[in-house]
Amino acid sequence: MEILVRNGFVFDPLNNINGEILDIAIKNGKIVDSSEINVSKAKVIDASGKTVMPGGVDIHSHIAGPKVNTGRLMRPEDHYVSFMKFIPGVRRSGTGKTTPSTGIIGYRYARMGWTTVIEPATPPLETRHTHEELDDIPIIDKACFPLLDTNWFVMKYVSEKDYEKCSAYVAWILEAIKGYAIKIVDPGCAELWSYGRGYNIDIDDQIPPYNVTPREIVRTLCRVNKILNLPHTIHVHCNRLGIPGNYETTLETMKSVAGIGDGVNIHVTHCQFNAYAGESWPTLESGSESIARYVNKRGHVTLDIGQIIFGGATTMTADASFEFALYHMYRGKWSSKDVEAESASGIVPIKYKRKSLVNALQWCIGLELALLVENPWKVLLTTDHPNGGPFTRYPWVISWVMSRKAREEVLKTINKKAYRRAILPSIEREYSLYDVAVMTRAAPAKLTGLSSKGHLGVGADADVAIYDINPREINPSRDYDKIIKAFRYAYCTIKNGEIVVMNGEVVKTIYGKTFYVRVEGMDELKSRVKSEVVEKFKEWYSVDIRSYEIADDELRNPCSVMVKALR
Amino acid sequence: MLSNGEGIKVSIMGEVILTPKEVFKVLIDAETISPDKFAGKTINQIKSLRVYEGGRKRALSDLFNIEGDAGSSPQEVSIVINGDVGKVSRIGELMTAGKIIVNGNAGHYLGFRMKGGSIEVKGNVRMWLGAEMAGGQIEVYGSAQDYVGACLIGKRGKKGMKGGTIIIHGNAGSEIGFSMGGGTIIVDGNAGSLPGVGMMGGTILIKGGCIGKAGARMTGGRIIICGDPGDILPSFYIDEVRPNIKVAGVTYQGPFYTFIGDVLADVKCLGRLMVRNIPSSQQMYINKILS
Repeated sequence: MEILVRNGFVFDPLNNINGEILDIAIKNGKIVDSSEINVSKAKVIDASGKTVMPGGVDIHSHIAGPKVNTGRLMRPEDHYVSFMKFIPGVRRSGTGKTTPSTGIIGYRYARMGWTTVIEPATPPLETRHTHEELDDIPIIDKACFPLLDTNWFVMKYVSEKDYEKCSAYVAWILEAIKGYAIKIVDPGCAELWSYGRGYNIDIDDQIPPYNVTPREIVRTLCRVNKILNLPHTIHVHCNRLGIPGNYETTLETMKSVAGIGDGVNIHVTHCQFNAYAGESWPTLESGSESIARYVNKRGHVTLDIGQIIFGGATTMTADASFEFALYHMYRGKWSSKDVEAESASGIVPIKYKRKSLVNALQWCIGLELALLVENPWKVLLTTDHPNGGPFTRYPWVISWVMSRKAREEVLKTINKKAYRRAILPSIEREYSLYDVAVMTRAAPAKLTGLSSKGHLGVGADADVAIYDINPREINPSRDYDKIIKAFRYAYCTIKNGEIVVMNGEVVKTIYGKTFYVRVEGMDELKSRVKSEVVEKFKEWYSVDIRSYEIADDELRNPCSVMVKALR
Repeated sequence: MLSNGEGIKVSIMGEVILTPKEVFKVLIDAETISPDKFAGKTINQIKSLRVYEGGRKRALSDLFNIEGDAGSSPQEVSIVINGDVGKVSRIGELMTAGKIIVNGNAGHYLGFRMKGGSIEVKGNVRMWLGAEMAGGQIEVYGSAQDYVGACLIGKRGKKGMKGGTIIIHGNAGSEIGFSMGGGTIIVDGNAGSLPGVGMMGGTILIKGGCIGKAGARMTGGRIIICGDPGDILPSFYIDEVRPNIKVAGVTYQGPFYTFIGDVLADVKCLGRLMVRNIPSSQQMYINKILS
């Protein structure tokens, strides 16, 4: 199918296009030069007076996996309030607001103009389930990051300081379970959780069975990442998440990998939860300034904000000990799990309240991070769905970073003490549409190494979002309502060369690809490590290694990304 | 107590009579059958109100013969349904005033979240009778199924019935008054298992017996069981013996053995379980404590 998107204001930061009026030509699921298509036969979409951007890329959104499913089961009340109807031949049905059904996750992302989403935490043992769910999510392209920090094999190699073997193991497991990058969650704590500990573990505390420290784990995996030349950096959820005073731990984590390899080597995810100053909850203060200063000064760190949204949320993380503490704060529902030799997880549904000092400050800190980090290429937009709030609230977050007036509207309603303590009321900066295109599209695509995503150059995947925003007429800082409306319901979303959303409604169900990494090289070492793994597997796991590995044909539409190991 | 149907017919209220056209085969979602939705509408507007028959959109007149005319405000509307509407769910949802009389059986979610007015059913009703209701009165001459005056699954806190009265002249099913925070449920017959589970306030009076586990996880309110209470949970402790108890203006003669609990849910033990007959297995032990 040939499509021509005509006369739109194109924002394509990776190709340095800032609001120029251009035509985008699409043929066979790729973007091509306008001369290659037959205009008389092509479907022409008139985008004059509208904004054309590449399809959105969400780097951190818990959309699939056993913990998401447990969240769904735990929260029937979340599913009474929100639903999408079945339309025969067009779309499937589904329910849920913070923990939506697999079907409507894809539709809601597409409706906002997002086309690539990454599930950022899956225990390798449960990844078959994750892929089953990812396969069931329509429209979007996906990938998943396996949790490797508390894996016993990794901890063993870390304690032996055997980077080569650790690299070979990571290379093997990424291919075996079809993962994309290394996810680190509160390094080491999941192991301590099986002893009933793990809360408030700092970066230099010992993790018992192998006597390694979180610092060693992060440093080793960062080095492994560079040895394997993986497309994405290590994806780190720092220690002491959600504990006042944790911004120092976050800074220590960033500093610990400074100087390993060139370029960006660490991505600190949902940084808002890791940017608290103060000694206790009543004395909580914002630590965003120190973190932003470090990120501005040094080039090796990227962040995503993990903005919270006032209202209901379902926290779900592999940081099980923190969830246990959270359960004691809220006294509601709680679920916890220990995943054999690999990880742990916990789920607690919570509600963020405007009048709560802590919640109001959390709201400010997320936006402070987005606004104090000068370079939008270094700070990405997420809500850590569903921990900070549902991803369907991205349009509001966009309006807050684009408009000081929109922020002030909310600041008027929040806790007064939080208002006085926050830095946010004094920040004047406002993002432009180009900056928003950077933070939601170009930067995450560049950071995850998905070279065919996040831009509209010739050869890119034909993932295009068209919004009803005329950048010459709309002033985002004043007309933030229009920005919210436009981003909530995209005028048109094109995925893989097919029109999937028109006028804010889903018109077609298609299924995207699942990306995973395949590392070339190190064959001899890999087979040696594999035989070691096979030997230990019988001892450490309840399943056979043949059931652990996932074959290509088990995925609906696998797409391998080849990388070459440096050694 | 409500007046019977005859009395209403002679009143000055606007009356709308619905008669089912056929025996319904699939469940019908009819939250539009409510005095609030009928008030101020002409008969033709009422006929075109939307209902869902098994997920398919239908007009109210496709399923019912409709006659009479509605009053201008909900207080003046009385809806009479002549026939079996056992498959019709959500009748009287969110109603604030007026009357509904069902001369037959009624379906699920009768009086769901209702705030006022009254509903009278001459036959049986299915599950979720008066779920999450905040006020008004429901009287059922037959039996009710499970989750009378309950909250929907998954919600926390005082999200069940908050006020009003439900009177069931027949039997009731399991988990009546699930998470209720106020109001009164009176069952003339027997109840199933777990009456008043997670209860936080209000009163449940069961004139017959129940299968057992009354008041599990309760943190407030009172459950009175005049017949055989089944087994009493070990997390309830005998507190006193009361000679009589007054519920909704009527005094019931005892003696009532009063238990406090549920200690597993809240150590303050604000819940009260009052039974006239204690199980024979526990009789000796309880008499020993009381003496």
